[in-house]
Amino acid sequence: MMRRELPHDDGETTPLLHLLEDVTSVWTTIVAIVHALWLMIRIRPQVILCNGPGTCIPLCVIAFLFKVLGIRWSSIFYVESVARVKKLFLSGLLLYNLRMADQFFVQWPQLQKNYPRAHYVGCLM
Amino acid sequence: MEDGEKNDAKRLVFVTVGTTSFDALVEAVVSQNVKDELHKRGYTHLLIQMGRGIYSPTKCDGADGSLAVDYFTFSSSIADYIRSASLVISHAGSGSIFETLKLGKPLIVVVNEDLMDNHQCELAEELEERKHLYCARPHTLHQTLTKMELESLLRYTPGDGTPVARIIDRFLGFPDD
Repeated sequence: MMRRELPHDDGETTPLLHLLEDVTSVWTTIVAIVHALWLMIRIRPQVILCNGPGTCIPLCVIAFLFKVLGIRWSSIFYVESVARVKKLFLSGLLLYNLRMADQFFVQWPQLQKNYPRAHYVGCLM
Repeated sequence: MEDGEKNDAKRLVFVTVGTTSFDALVEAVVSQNVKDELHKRGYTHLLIQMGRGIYSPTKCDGADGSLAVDYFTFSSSIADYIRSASLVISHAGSGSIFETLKLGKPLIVVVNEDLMDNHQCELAEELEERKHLYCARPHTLHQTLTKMELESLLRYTPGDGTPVARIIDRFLGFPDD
C-alpha cells in the first residue's frame, strides 16, 4: 500500500512548506483510500490482519464501510505492536474506539487493563 | 568489517543503532571512561554499526592492549555480529531488541532522548523491569556498565502466536483442533 513518510520537524520549515505538506498529505491519503478500494474489490479478502502503523487504516476503513453497507466480505483483526506497552498507536485507538476491528489483540497486560475489549495474547516476539 | 581472525580470548561488544542516526550513543560508547570500563570487564573488541550517523569514531587495532575499535554503517543482517558478541549495546528499536534477546545475548538498550514521541523507551523499560536487559541513556551508559550484573539477567523465552490463531479461528467458525 502507498505510504506517506512524515518529514521530521527540524525547526526549519516555513508556513509555505507546512501548506505543501498538508496538501501532499491530503493527496496521498486520497490515493491510499482509492488504492484500498481497488484492493478490496479485486481481492475480496475474508480476513484482514494488521498491526501498528497507519498504513492499515485506509484498508480497514474501506472494509468497515463495506460491512456497514451490508457487504460483509472481510473480518478485521488488529494486533497492536509489541512496542506498545502502555498506550495504543493512533491506528489502534481508532480501530478500538470506533469498534472497526472484529477482534483486537494486545501483547502487554497493561494495555488489556486499559482496553478491556482487547484480547491479551502475551508477547508474540 | 571485522576480519576472520580467530582469537579464543576475544570478547566482542557489538553496538547497533539500526537504521537510525544515533550519534549520542556512538560518542558515548567510544568515550574514554566507557572504553576503560569495557576493558576492565574483559572485553577486547568494540564493533559499532553506526547506521545513518555522522560521527565516525577513530578505529583502533588494540595492538597496545587497549580495546580494539571498528565500525561500519549498515549490513544486510546483523544476526552474525550479535551471535559473535559477548555483549550487545543497542538503540531502543523493537527489532534490534528482540533479535538480540532471541539469540540469548546480554543486552543494554540505550534510549535516544532526541527522538520526538519516544514510545520506544516504554518497551525497553518494561523489559528491564522483567530483568531481560539493562536500559540506559547515552549519558548514563558508563554508570550502567559499572553497576551491571549480566549473570542476573533472565533468559528471554520467544513468544507463540498460537493463541491469536486460535481466537481468530474460533471467531471465523472453525472447530478447535
